[in-house]
Amino acid sequence: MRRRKVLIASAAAAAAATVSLLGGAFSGPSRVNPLEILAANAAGSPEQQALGRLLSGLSTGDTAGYVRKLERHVARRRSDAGSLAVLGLAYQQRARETGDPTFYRLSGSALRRAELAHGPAALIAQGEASLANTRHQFRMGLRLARQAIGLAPENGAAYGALGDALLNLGRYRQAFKVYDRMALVSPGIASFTRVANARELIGHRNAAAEADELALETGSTVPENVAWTMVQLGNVRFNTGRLSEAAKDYRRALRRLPGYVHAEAGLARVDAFEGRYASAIARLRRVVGVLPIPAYVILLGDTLHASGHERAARREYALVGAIERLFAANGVRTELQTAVFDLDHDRNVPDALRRARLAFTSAPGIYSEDALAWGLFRAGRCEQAKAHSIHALRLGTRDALLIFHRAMIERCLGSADARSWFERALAINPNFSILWAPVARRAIQ
Amino acid sequence: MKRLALVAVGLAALAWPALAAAHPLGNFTINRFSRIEASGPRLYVRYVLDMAEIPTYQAGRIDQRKYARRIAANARLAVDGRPVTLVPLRSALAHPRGAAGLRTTRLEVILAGPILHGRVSVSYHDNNFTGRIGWKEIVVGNTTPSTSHELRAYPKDLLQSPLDVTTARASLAPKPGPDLPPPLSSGATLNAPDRVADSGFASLVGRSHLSALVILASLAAALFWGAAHALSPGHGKTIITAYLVGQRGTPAHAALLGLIVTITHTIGVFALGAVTLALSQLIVPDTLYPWLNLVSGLLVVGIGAAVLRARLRRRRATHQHHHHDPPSLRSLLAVGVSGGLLPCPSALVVLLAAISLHRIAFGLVLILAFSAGLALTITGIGLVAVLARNTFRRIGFDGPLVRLLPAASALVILAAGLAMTVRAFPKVS
Repeated sequence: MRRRKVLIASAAAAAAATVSLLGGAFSGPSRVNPLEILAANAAGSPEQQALGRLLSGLSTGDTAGYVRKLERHVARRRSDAGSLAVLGLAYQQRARETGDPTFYRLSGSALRRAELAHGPAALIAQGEASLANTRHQFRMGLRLARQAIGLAPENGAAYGALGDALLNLGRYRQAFKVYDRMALVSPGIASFTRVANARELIGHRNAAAEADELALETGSTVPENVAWTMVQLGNVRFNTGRLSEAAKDYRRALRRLPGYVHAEAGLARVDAFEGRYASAIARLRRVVGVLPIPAYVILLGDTLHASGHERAARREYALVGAIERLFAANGVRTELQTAVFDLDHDRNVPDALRRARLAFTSAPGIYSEDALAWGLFRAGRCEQAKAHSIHALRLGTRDALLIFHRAMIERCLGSADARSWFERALAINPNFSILWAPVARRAIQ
Repeated sequence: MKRLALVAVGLAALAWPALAAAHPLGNFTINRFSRIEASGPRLYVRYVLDMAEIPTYQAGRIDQRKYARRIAANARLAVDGRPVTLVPLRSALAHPRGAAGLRTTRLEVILAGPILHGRVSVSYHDNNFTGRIGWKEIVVGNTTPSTSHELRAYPKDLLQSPLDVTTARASLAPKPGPDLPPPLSSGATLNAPDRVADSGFASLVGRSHLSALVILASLAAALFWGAAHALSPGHGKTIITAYLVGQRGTPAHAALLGLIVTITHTIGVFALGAVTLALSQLIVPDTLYPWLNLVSGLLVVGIGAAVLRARLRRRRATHQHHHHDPPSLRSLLAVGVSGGLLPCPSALVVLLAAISLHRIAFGLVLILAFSAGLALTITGIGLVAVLARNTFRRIGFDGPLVRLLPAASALVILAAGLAMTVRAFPKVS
């Protein structure tokens, strides 16, 4: 009981601190008193009770055990719709922890069964919204999240899903407003890390790190969530070239959740940029031995390439090709990462450009737009590329890779500005890419 | 011939992106199974490794004996607390086909343990591929059932996390009889595990020999699957019941409704199958389903509104006269169509499989039987409703309550339709 009181008090304090998390850049003064919302939350709608159950279940750190307990429970009571909905959400946490997409399928079935059994509608809609987001069906995610908020305006997670959908659809201002609102409705690790992400997008990297720190101070008890935030913080620092601080964050995450692949991959990236290729490769082999997702396979390939292991690099690149084919067979048609990979390595450029365009039309965010610009540049259409690059940088994002792409486009157009763009990219992060940072350095020599 | 069944499963994957991974546990998984057993005086471990597409690709060319040695080294066994070594005896390797033209791997290894002198306590820890996602199962005893049928049929429709068992403790006694190592799989069982536990209806079309008896049995099974499937939520059971009760339907109407449901469902499956085949590049059936949901929801709203309006008008027109208007053919049609509009996924899979196997006629008949089974259940429920109402009337229950039934049923239909529509709406994209 006392712990709960302390939690509420610290949450209230955090809420008060959060009102202007975005520095008022996108939201005016709020008319909502955070304490009132917290009081309303404490009153406890069925949704809040279910969420409370979920949170305390996950807090043990043994998500697998908790999920199994719920599975046994719903096997006995097939029509316990509330437990089915909680199980559906818990599966999503399992998917995040293991990277195993099987759990997304299970989450879908559990939520569907909860729906058929007339379970808590708001919670189900929220679960389905975040599921749609993970499947890159952002328009559906948007609709379902709105529905969830309509049903339960105090459910912070639904705001998270709504903001994520908006963000991926390129509707940044709306997304930031929603995140602000989320930080008010449910101040905590989930909302503060989103605010951090928003701040990074608008180029306020120090402020982003502050929000991540604040997220860690909320005392979340779900180990994976904490480790994830530490990795995010590490990434923010890495992206500004502060490698040793980033490494510290990644190590912290590994201490919190031993073997956490995303932290291991972060450390590998630091190793690679500091020239410790052997250590980086060993780490990355462990990472793709556990979770062979394209981002890490590409990083391994690029590291092997940079250290002169050409044949081994080609093997990893071929694996990316196989993953690409699987995506296509699975009906995933807009995988941005593999499109950018093809463009980076000058393979299948026409098809990669087509995929980048598809990705941009289905989710017109700044990263898909940058990929489109990069593809147009690779296809020699630098005029069009520039227009998209300008638009991709409209938020003032200080991402060295985006700026480097712009530099290449400017150089293609014979612009005198090209040099200053290269310099800007290197100033933000001299180690922004194993592949491209050397190119940028050569360009300004 | 088992390959044909595999084709059917592959096609199911084609039609449903959610199931599309040819490996039912996901393209990333490395799945492990150990069976610890005594054969004669000796302890054996039968180890099965099932790798999905990506790990198989990562592994490159697999050296069976090297893998067997590695597996033996990482399978830690202790008898009465003392660690003992396991020796790989024999192994079998196959590469069943996976999604996107990639291969998967099934490797079976027989590991020989020590001779047992009397009952011992055994502790076993599988330390192979730690950290790698996948199904991990250990069973003790040669007849103990395996949940995944030794990684051949993973339970798919249950809400069950992949098993994650890496340690086992048990007591084991030597068996009378000779020391015979457990057998390895071979042929089709090794080469083409279809890996899905509940292929059910969809597997019918892939049967190898189509003798008259097999066809007859398949049709009966299809009928049964359809009838059972109709009992799951949806399929307009509430609406049809409410309609028949409210509109004073007769048993003949119930039968007619069943017929309409059968025809609509059959046509729906064929149409969706055609769309899937012709436009597979543009349309994924997954995105079509929400629309069909919405259409049937709106249809039901329409029916409800029409029935309600007719009711009110009739009430105003003939206040005294007790009128027994039979339901019009048009409204019967609408009710039936709303019940059969949504093609069942398994029926669609059968159609696609039948086309690929050049067994189109057989597939069509199977789907017809499935739809008929569907209709049988719905007609049955309708008949029960009609008979129940008639019984109430016969025993003089024709009070104000029963007279209110038509209006009430109209409201029930309207509410059900609205609920369907509201639920379908946010998913339409």
